[in-house]
Amino acid sequence: MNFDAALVWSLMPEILRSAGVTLGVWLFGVLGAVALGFVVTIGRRYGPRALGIALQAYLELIRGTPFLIQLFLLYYGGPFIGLSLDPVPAGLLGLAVYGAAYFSEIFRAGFEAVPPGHVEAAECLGMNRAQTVTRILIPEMTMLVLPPAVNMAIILLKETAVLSIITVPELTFQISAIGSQRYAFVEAMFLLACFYWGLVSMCGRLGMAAESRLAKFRFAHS
Amino acid sequence: MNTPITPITPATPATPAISAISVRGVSKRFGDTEVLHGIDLDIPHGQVTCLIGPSGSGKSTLLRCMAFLEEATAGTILVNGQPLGFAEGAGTGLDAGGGPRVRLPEARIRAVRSQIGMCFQQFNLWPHMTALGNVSEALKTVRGLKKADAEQRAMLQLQKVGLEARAGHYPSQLSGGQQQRVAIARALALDPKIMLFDEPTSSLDPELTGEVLNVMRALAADGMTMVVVSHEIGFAASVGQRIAFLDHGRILLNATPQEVFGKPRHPRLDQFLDTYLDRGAAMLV
Repeated sequence: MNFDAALVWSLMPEILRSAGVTLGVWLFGVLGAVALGFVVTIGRRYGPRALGIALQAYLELIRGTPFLIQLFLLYYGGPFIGLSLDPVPAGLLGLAVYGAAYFSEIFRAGFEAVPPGHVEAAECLGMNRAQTVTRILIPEMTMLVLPPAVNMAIILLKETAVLSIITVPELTFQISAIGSQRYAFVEAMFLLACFYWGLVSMCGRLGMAAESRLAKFRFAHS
Repeated sequence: MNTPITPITPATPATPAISAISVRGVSKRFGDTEVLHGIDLDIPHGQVTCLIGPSGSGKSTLLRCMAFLEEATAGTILVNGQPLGFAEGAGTGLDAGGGPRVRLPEARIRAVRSQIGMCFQQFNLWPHMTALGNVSEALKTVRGLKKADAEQRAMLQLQKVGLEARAGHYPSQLSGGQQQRVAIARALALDPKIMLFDEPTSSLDPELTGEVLNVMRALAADGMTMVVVSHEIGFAASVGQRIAFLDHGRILLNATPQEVFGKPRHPRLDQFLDTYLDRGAAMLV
């Protein structure tokens, strides 16, 4: 078997366009997942009991089933309940709902890891609950969850490949299509792996940079 | 958001009988274990009261009840004559007699509590704020001061504890002793009438303990009413004006250092102090 570099090169513009789509759905998907996950955490922590139970059920449903099946049901099953979405919006929604379940658990653990004494100190100074949550708990939680949140974002980047089953024209969809058309599967998959690896390292770098910028906020030792 | 706390005027400031803090029949139960058994204690104005006793004697729990970080299971605590958290009987709050305890509204609790400043063993500085940020935070959020005004006042407090040069440092960039001094400045910034210290030097090495104790000595010399839970028997003996010795959730002794540490000594205290003398700390009276 020969690796056809010329073929790969000639298809580059098309591949780069699909890499852009991957990056786009990932970015907005992660933003949506973080925002939704945060709302879920706050709802479970401070909301009424009934809401907590409903959100718990959502978490178990999402974490208990494969993303591939969730996405399939959303896109192909959605129209039966009047939810007809184009591939890209469906992919974004699916990614956000799926990622939110995991981000929510990360945020919950983060909130629980803030030393209770930091909240007591705020309480003793007369800060009310809203002030304590916004000024103390959320900032401290954010620092604590940065490493696992970056990790989750990386997992979601790779999960965008699943969007190919609902015909979102992202990397996996386009490159597999090229592979089948040109009968060049190895080249296609190799290229695909390289692209994902490049994107993931970039994301990892950004995470590291954020962590080192926040290093001075790390918990003090006595 | 910014709810300036209306200053509380003591119910009858002229009457010397009213203690800074008056603990009446306070019990505290954690599940099946009762750690405080009907404690009565008066904290006099302008004096340093030290709570000493072995681990598990309930001294920290008692202090935390005074800060309303723990809610006493029974009994009442009055701060300058005003009930903290719970009032005995309906409404009056000063009626030490019967009637079920009622929990006071949150705003009321915050108002009474604003007379109290608290320092913790673990400092509990907020890691995402500088020393100046830690000290000025409540001035902004609780007192509603503008950022510049809050920081100016915070700076004065940092000067008092000798840390104005460290104002821009984050807690992780400060030594333990410096962190505790920032924590003291943070509590003082809100002009508390009473300062509570929960083992303020227990997580510091001996070299850093001194700088914190010096700040506390200066505070005592200024006439601040202080309640200190401490293992620093030397500090208790030299700075404390009242010593309360707790054992198994009861106050065994409550008197001046001379009376408490002088001979003849309460046998349980003798036994407790022996552990200090064993460690060569024969600095007692």
